[in-house]
Formats: sequence, structure tokens, C-alpha cells
Amino acid sequence: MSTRIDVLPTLGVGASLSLSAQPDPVALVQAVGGPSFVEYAGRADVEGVSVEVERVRAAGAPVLFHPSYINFCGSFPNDRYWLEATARHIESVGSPWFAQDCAYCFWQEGPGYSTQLGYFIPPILNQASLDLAIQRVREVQAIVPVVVAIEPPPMTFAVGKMPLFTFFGEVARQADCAILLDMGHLVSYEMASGHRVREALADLPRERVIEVHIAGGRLEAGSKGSIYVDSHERDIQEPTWRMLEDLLPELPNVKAVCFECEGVKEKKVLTTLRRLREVVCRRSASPALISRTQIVQ
Amino acid sequence: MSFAEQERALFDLLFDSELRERFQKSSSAALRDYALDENERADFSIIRADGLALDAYLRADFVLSHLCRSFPLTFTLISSLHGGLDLLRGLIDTRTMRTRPDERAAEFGTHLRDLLASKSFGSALEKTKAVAITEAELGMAMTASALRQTLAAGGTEPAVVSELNADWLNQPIQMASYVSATVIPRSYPELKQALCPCADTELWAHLSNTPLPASKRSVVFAQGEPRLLLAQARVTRRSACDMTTEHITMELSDGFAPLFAHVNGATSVAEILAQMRKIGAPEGVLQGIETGFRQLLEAGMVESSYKPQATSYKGNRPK
Repeated sequence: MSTRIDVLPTLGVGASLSLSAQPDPVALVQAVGGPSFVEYAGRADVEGVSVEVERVRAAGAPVLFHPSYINFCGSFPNDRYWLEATARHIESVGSPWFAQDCAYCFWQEGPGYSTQLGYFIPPILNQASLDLAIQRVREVQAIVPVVVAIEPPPMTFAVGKMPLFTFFGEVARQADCAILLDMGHLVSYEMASGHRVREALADLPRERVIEVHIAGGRLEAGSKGSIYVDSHERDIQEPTWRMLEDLLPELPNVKAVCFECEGVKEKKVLTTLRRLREVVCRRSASPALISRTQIVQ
Repeated sequence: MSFAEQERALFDLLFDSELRERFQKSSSAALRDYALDENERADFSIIRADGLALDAYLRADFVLSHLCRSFPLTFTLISSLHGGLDLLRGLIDTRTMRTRPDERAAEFGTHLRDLLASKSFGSALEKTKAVAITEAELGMAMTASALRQTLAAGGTEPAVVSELNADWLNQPIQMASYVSATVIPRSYPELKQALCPCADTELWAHLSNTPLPASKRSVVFAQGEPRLLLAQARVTRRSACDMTTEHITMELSDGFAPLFAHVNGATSVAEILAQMRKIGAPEGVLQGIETGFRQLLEAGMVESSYKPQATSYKGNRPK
């Protein structure tokens, strides 16, 4: 593995927040037991967020940029202007790595944010799609100056027969990139496909997983069973907590565990961060992450 | 037999409700028209139809919540029709979603206008008023789209006039670029206040739970005076990736609207006044017209026609 995961900083347990909405990221960072880092989505151009990001950094928390406009899969290539803006953004805010869902954010009509499609369209899980995903990741790596990590997106349905971890494992190996695993997204895949992610755990290069996400969601009753819907303002579902407990011992290089909590009340954020830290200390296979977490605990 | 065909099928399944219905009955029959081999078709046969249907529903909801920001009054009025919310959901189709993002709101707006024109309201007058409001919002969507396209193609933003030329009365005038002009049944801010109880960003979620009662629509339409709404699209943020626009608006009495037939790039305000004087307009009216054009020039809605003309949309401007 040539991707320098070993030199990435260990950030601990943090939160993904909207920079200009409640709960206020700075107030949370300054609170006892607050997030050790702040992740944010946002526009490609850094100018629109630089003031808010500076406030967070001045409060002592590093930031991770986690947008939703890069195509890490599919036939439609990323525009060079967008990639260059991303590179400038990352350098400007000092994001130590760059992670985003590996899904369609835009279609052939032109680049843009995933909101133009409603939200992400999940990748087709087959070999042809895998080959294109490798191209897309390399296209980003060629311009973005930090380690790139791909994340399996949320899905209410799965298309393609290749197991999720086989697809993402192979993309990560061949493109030499890192991986972010969102526990709710994995639950969503299990419900959508009827397969357990663990069935293909051997295909996942676990040492490449550098970040873990956890967030609220809801379960909709479908005619063929429950369907998981990503919904950050809701409570974290029990299957999602179980996924975290189950997978953390398998992931030796996790640098950051992020609670995606846009729209969640401050008190609830702090309570959840406390529970997350407890789970990390008890279950994580990463000694550095445990040490970093214990400092806050 | 290609991955591109699989992508086309995936996209269509998300935004083509008829295809989705056929897919629910038989995935292989539904995908017959796509050049897929057996293996490629099998990738789709594992899709949970209920999950696909939920995805399509939620996806349309997100898209509508964004489009609603360009058409707040129109969405609110359509919500007051029987099955109005489903009518809106039905417009999130492959035709809309295959439109370039910059042009999508304008394209969607033309479908909205056509939809409204085909529906019954409490009375013909109410329908006319509703269509006029949609025309106004469509005009704004079109000028914003035209401005974004011009700038994306490397064009420059029109200069904002800061000072009135001393000889403004005698210079031929024309509509400024990216301006729409529409007669609406009441002042736009008044309509917004009366019909939209929350911010545009929250409006779709609100309407989904609380559509506008038809009786309230009738009450609101029965009040107020018609106004001529002028709106100019301006850029608030511009870069290679991100471009946002807003509209500067101005309202005049609807009696001003017929005068726009003379705003043609060849006629000056002085000439318009002379023609009005000739047909016996009283001095007070002439004063009002002069003041109105002065305000329009100062606001940049109308300009001297010595400048090259770009796109403008004149809505239902009277001929």
C-alpha cells in the first residue's frame, strides 16, 4: 500500500455539522466532551466557508471537508475546474484527507452537487462499474493534494450482484485509496440487498479504512421488509450501533469516528459523543484512536 | 450491450414512473428496450422494487424542495388543487431531469405553466390570476437561467447603472438585460406574505403536510390591486463552479404595463410622453409616467438602447 495512511493524524471522535446552522460548531467544540474535529459539507469554493472554518479552527478543532459533488463512479468524468477548486479548498482549510461517498453526484448533463439529482445515486455493483470507479478515483487523486477516501453511499435499493465490500475493496486496492465506512449506509445496503456486509469482509482491505461515520436514520416498512433511510436529524438506529460494535474491532487504522449530526440538538450531540467514545475505547482495534479518545474522556 | 446502457436504465428507473411500474411487474420485460445482455439485465433483477419506489419518491421530494424556491407562489397555488402535490411530483420525470442543471428551473417552469393552464380553478378569473403568477415566476427563472448560461460561457455581467444620464428623457430606451415584466393580481410580497407562511427553503416540506386550502386562495385573490412586477436577475456569487443569482424587483401600477409596448429601443420617454399628450392624457398622468420611467431607469430595469441588448423575458406583457 503506497497511500500514506500511517502519516495521517488521528483525530479522535468528532462531529459533522452545518457551519452556518444550529448546533453551532464553535459552541460544541468549546463544550466539555465536544467534538475533537468538525467535518462539514459545502460548496467547492472555499471562499464561501472560510470565515466559519476559521472560527472552528481558532476554537481548536481541525476540520475535514466532505462535500457531495465528486463523481467517484460511473461514466461521467469530473470537471477539472471543480477538482482544482476542491484542491484549493482542501489546502486552504488543512483537511488532512478527502473523503466522499462513491456515488453519482451528477449525470451527463453537467457537473454539480448531488442535490440536483435529489441525492446520491448509488453505483452499479459490477465489474464494468468498478473499472470506471477506479478511473474516477484516479482522476481526483491526480489533482487533490491529500489522501482520497471513498465511502459506500446510502441505498434503499442495490443494483448489481457484486458484494459491496468486494466492489469497494477492489477499487481501493487498484486505485490505492483509503476507505470511509458509514455504519448506517452499511445497514442500508444489508436491507436493500439481503446480504450481510460481513459475508465479504475478507475482500475489504481493512487497513485502508481511515474514517467511520455514524448518523441517524429511520426504518420504512417496505413490502419486502424494512428499508433504511439516511436521516441525520433522527436518532441512531440500533442496527447501526450494532454495526459499529461489530466492525470497529476489524479496523486497525481508523483515525476518526464522526457523528453526522446536522440539525441535532446540542445536548443530544454531546450525549451521543459520550456513548461513541465509550464504544471506541471498548471496541476499536486502533490503539492511537483509543489514546486520542481517552484524552477527551 | 454496454455499461452506458445500464446507466441509462438506472437513471430512467429513478425518474420514469411508467417504466418503474412495468419494472415492478417484470424487470426483464421492462428493460427490453435497453441494449443489455443477460448478465447486465441480471444486475437489475435483484433490485428491491419497494426500495426503488421509495428512493424515487424521496428523490422527487428533494428535487421539488429545491425547485420550490424558484416557484414559491406557484407551488403553493398548485397545492390548493385536488391532488396538486401529486401533480407536482409527476413533473419530476426524465424530461425535467435530463435538462441541464442551469436550465432546469426554467424548463420545469414551462411544464408548471402548462399544467396550471390545463386545470380547473374555482373560476376562470382565479385561473387567469394563478397563471399570471406562474408567468411572473417563470420569467424570473428564465432570466436567471439566461444570465447563468451567459456567464458560464464566459460572458460578462451587465453593468449596473448608478446615475441617470442628464439627457435621459430624449434617449431611446429598451428593457435592460435579464429583466422580466409581468402583470400579477396583487403585489408579489403581499401574495408571499398571504400565501407562504415560511421561508422558501422550508416551503415544500410545509406544503407536503399542509397544502393551501382552496378557500384561502379565493380570499387572497379577491383582495388587492393588480401590479406590474419587474424583476432583474443579478449575480450574487460567481466562480467556475458556483454561481448564484438573485432578483432585484420593482412594482408599478398595472396601468403602466401598456406603455411597455413603446419600450422598443427606438422610442424615448419624451416621445412616449408626447404621444400620450396627443391623445389627451392629463398632466398628472404624464407626471406619473415620467416619474415611473425615471424610477425604472434608476433601478436598471430599463436602459438607454445605445448598449447591445441581451436576453430579456417579458412574461405576459400587454401588447
